[in-house]
Amino acid sequence: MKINVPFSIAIAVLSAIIALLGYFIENSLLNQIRSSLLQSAIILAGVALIIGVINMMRVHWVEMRGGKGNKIYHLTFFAGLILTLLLGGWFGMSNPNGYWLYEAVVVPVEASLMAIMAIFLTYLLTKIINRRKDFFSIVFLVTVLVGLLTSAPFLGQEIPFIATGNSIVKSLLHLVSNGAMRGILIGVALGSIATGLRVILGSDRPYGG
Amino acid sequence: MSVPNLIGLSFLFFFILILVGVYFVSKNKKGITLREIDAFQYLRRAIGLSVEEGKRVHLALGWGNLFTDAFSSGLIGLNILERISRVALFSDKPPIATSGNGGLMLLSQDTIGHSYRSFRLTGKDQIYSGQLIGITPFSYAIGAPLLIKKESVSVDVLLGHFGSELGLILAASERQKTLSIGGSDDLTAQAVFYGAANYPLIGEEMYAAGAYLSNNEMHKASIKVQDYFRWGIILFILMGTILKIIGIL
Repeated sequence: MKINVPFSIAIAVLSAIIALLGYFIENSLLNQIRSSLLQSAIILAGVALIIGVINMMRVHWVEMRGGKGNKIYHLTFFAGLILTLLLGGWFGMSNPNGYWLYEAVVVPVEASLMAIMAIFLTYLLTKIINRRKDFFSIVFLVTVLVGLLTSAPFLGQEIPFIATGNSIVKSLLHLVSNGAMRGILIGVALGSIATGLRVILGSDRPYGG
Repeated sequence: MSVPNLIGLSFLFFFILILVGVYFVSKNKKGITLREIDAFQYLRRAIGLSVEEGKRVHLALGWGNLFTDAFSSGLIGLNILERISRVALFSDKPPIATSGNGGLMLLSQDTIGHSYRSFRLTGKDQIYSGQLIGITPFSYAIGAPLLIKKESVSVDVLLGHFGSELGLILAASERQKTLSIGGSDDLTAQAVFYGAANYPLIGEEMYAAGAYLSNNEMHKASIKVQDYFRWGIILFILMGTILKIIGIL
């Protein structure tokens, strides 16, 4: 994909300014242009997804032919893709028969992965002290343990002054964690604004420019 | 125009004004110095080492959608991809970028392609350089570990929008003994990073990545402006608290 750089910058900057102004200023012409820009972007995002799936097919095909990786994974991918396309194409995606494969296979697999992940996270947490021997790692570990104790009974018993009702520990934890969360979110919001503005000013060019 | 919209637009206008001002002032002076962040120091070193060892750098861009605010973290990932690909391009195994979104995949391929073009090189294995490995969070989290194992990755850089499923990728990274560095806009993902990554980036640290890995003065200026605004917000909150305590608000 070769894009003429100054032209692509002009398009990106102009579209961003129109979309941004349309968000704040109520003007019918501005809103019309903004909405048509957004509609075009939505169509492009759909096309990008199709290209992505084609890329995924190519990678699996080339690897399968080259004997790279386990063949079973590649075959499962192709079987799932073809079956989903056939069912979706035949019944339509609004029909339950069109997406039963997703509900029957993907949803249970993802649910079981969620359960496995709890074990993974516990395992990784036990290794935090090996990875980073600092004060904040200990604070993090203690906070996780206290958080767990306040949110669920321990061996079927609610620990007095910790898990029961509105205990001081529970309230303190909520107070501190809510404050910290808000602080982090303010930082993230400022970072997002700065990133967006750098794209608008043409300093960041995530389109190969 | 409603009052909230006017405040929002003024905030952005003010932000741009200060950003441009700080940029020109710092350009005329000796530049802006930033505090050290371990993750970026190690990342620079790890990229060099992976090139020497003939191993691959994997950059996970997450699955942030183009139409949500979560996409900003993906943009940071793309920015870092450009820096990494320029350094690791001459390696036997050039970097791989994975994403859970078609738009991010196209942008990652284009970013790597641009690095190739800037050195007048023809990209080999272009379909591998930027890959879509799953379009749902969990399919992405299953696909990434397979790739980490298969491609003999030595550094995992995870910069983008993730959720708790990130634990699966970091567990794979831990099993393969690769170095993991990452940050996200999502609070749950940040907690998982803190517990499971070698070098986590917390809060806005991720948004500073471009400034630390390049000499771009605009990036550095934006970090300064973020700091000014953060102090402004802190003062605003403190003032509000005091006014509330004394009963004015």
